[in-house]
Amino acid sequence: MSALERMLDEFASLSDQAGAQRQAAAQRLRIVGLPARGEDSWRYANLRALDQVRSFLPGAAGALPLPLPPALPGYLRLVLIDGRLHREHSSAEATTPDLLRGATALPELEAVSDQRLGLIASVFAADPLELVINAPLALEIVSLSSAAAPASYLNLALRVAPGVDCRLVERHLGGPEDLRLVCVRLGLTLAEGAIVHHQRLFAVSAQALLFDTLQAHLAAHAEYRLCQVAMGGSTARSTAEVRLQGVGATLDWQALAAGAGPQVNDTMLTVLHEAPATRSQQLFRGLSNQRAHVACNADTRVAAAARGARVTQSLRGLLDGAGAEVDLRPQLTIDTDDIQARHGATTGKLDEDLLFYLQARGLDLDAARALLKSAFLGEVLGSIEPEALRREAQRATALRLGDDALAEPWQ
Amino acid sequence: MSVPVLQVENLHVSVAGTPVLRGITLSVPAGEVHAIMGPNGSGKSTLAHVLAGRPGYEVTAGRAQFDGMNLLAMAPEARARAGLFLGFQYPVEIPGVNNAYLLKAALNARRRERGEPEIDAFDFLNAVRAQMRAMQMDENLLTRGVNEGFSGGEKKRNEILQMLVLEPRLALLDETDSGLDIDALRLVGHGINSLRSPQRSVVLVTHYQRLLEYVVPDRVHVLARGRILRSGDRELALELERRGYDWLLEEAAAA
Amino acid sequence: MSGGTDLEALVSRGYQHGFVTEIDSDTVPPGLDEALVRMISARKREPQFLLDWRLRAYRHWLTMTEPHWGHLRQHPIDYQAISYYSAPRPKGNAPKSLAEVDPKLLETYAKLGVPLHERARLAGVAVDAVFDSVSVATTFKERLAAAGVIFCPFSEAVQKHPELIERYLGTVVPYTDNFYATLNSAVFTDGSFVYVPRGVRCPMELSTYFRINAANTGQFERTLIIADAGSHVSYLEGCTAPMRDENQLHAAVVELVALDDAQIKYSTVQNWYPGDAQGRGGIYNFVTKRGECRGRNSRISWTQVETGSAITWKYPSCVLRGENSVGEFYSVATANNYQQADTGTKMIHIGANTRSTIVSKGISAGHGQNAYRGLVKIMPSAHGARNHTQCDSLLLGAGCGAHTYPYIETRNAGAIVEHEASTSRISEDQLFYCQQRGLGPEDAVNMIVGGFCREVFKELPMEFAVEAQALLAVTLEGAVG
Repeated sequence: MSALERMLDEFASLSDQAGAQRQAAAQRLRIVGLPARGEDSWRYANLRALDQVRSFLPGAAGALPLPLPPALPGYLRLVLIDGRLHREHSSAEATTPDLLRGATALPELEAVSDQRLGLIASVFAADPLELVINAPLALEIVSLSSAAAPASYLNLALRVAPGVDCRLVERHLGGPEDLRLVCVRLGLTLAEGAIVHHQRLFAVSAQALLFDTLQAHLAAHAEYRLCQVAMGGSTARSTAEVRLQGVGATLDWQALAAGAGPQVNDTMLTVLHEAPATRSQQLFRGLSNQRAHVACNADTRVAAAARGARVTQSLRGLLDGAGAEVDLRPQLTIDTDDIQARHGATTGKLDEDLLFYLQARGLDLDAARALLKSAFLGEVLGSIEPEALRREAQRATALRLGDDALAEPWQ
Repeated sequence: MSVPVLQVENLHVSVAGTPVLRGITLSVPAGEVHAIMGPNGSGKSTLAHVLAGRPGYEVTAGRAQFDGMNLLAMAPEARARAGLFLGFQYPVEIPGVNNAYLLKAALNARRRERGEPEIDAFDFLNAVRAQMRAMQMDENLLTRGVNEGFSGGEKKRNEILQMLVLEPRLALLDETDSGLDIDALRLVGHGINSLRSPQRSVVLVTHYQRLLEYVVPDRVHVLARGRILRSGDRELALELERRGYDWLLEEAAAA
Repeated sequence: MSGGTDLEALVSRGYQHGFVTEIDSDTVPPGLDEALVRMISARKREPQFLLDWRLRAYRHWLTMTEPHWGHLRQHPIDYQAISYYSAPRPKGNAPKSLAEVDPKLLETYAKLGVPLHERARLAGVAVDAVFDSVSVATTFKERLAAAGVIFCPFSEAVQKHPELIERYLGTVVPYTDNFYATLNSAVFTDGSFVYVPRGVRCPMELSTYFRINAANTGQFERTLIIADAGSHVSYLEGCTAPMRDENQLHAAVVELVALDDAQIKYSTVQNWYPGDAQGRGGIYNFVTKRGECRGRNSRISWTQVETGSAITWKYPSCVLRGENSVGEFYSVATANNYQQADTGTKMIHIGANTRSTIVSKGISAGHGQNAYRGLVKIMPSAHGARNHTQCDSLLLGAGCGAHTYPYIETRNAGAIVEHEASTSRISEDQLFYCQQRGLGPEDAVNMIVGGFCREVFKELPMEFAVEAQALLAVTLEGAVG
């Protein structure tokens, strides 16, 4: 049986518990199927790993599988365990009904690119949640996956009201031994002038299969700043689509993807400039240790109506060790002449001249390498706020890359 | 009495609907150097650009004549071929097009206009080299792309070099002195002076007095808030140096 | 830029090569089957190994499907409606020298601007004119023969040097490689063959002119160039085609092999009929070009100026196998009116310390669509490999598109790959600057575009560079303002 068939079979076994929207999602999934390896946007993702998932059924509500990280000062907190909301550990203000709704029907965001892996979350997430943000908010979502559940799903929608400034932190954590599927789906709608600072840290187990799908629609003058740090899993694929639909909407996207050992960490971002004067800045830093495979596909499309668009893409990959692989695809499809667009992509190793310079200033080779790697990763990590979160991201990165020196603050 | 090289009458210019020049009247006879000074945002550069024919400016009233020709009715290249030169404040880079090529094309355009044959490559290089020596510019700059990788000072000296090779009838120099160090300033001044003749006129647009130490103007006009508030001789420039622009603006406001 | 170009004359020139020669063609009726493949091989009196190769390719082709990708909108091609063989019927026996060539053919060459005898001799260029499917005349064989260089039609090489053909044919582009290459392998009729012996610097630039004449005749050339150890050769390819209403197919295969310390430079100035201003009736140009740097310290450079054809689909590539070998790709591609260009390159680094340089300049105007599609692949064995890619797009006007689709796949930690791309239009500031120096708007645009392409033009052999500049100006006519 193929993974798709098993999925649909298992869903059928619990479909009486699932609402109409989940049923419809399962129908869609049946029709569109799962991406196949030969397809161009799935070229680097290791989708065969889905065949190894024992069961796609979401876990039951359970206890805390690991200690919660300390709360971030000034942030409300929502805690989810295996995709189910855990009210005792969440802030009361975060679970009030005007902010958080258990939704049976989440808003559907129309997509241009391939969002099929997100469909899996739409089908299986037992606790789809909608956040309606009408006032400035700082919210931290901590999502833990436990050994008790075969698979962990999150299906979350956010609507930000006009002019509202919102800070969102998302942390996906898992224990070290878990081999399971973690499937996350996030849909954001930013109304006119809304500003969202979104920081995401993915530090699930190194054996996990992590599929994260995100969609964001921006109205006029909305700003979306997304900073994503992904340690990956045995196979990880992050798929995001951002549509700049209103005049002057802007996106500032930064992503760090690390991989160590036999891992696959694949990031795909599609940015659509659909209205005049829209701007996007895209920065990717990937580090592949040993045999890991890190890939980034940044597909930016500027429509003829998007006059005055500004696009910059900077994709960089660092390879460290035999067997490391980095693949980069900065893509630009441009149909207007009123544009300034640049992209740059480089892959390579640490600069030997810089290494020598540091050694000449008294650092030994290992320390010099760690320093340069930190600087490389720091281009993304350095912008993480608050500091506690930044330190955690640094530690998670150091842990994944097996390099304690990287955990030291270097700035 | 000969027709002035440049005659501007009651010129009103708007940019994106906002009035910038509100009735400029100016007359530059042949052989004279006029300086147009004024605080930032006064419209000095706008005047130079409108006279050169840069798109994006709307003439709402008035006229301008170049050697008796209706300047505003002419395309930018026609004005250039007739002998009007604009020294840009921010000279653009044109990658892949070398300086020599552009200069030769420009010179030949001028010569064709005057019914002269195109310049011989050899003569061209000799002429250019001589001027480059005078401007103390390295010869290899000729083979580089237009202004490509040039420092600010080099760009300005390149503008003057072009002016010297093209020998215009009227040179409008837009803040050519900005960003120059003492030595470059001296060279630029020297270059402009070498062009002075009864047949040529120069209009220097500048904020500071420094260049006028080297290129002594015959007339000085102060342009502020879109109008020429006062005209005088070089003493006016010295007074502005001492007192700034405020006193003039206050006087004008009171009047 | 040639300063004396008279733009008026160029602009009104239109497409000057649009005409058809009235000549007695020996054309086979349209259709493709195994019998046709055998017939082609028989008419050319080919040895068994080559017929076998063609048949394997044909049978493989039957299992393949036509690729549809990129940005291309193409009319479906009916492969059974194409005539695969057309030879001008010789009057009596085949000509052995120019004097014996059918005078009408020579007149055709004159119209093409290639007076074989005069111009070729003055320029010192040997011309191998491929007229439809049969090569008619080859000059300067004597000079080349003295140097030991073999430059002849492919079909002649099959007769005289079968062992070279057998050793090298299909070793760079296997018959299974892609749909159009496989088709070509089955039905190719002729092309050029070059062999440069050890240590020989080919004494002149080699060139070929060819055109498609009879309606519905696809053109399937096969070219094979072998540079033996220590040799150098520069090859020019330039094409013209007459105006036709129906689309014509061009599916060529070019294979280059460079052995130790050898260098091959392959330059193309493509001037296919681009379709009329509404996009009807141009040439479909699907070409597989690949060079293998088989030997150490070898070098292969591709330089191309593509201005024409309704659809261009070509990715000249280098396989960098030998240590320290170098691959280069310099390209200017224009798409005006309703042209679609999807071009690029593949650089595959296999050997250690291999280097590749890619400079791609795309110019879009009218409703043209220009896409760069490139692959830089660093295999695990390519220690110390280096690539630098610069892709720039220039948009002239609001209705066109410029697209960049690079693939960067690195599997060696010691390699360095750098890719940069930019997209913009000619700035108003640049245009005004040129106008203020006395240049009219058309001249200004041509000059700026020429400057944009300069890095590529300077890689072209001199006479090609001049032709390329003029070609660019004509192609982009009407794109200003």
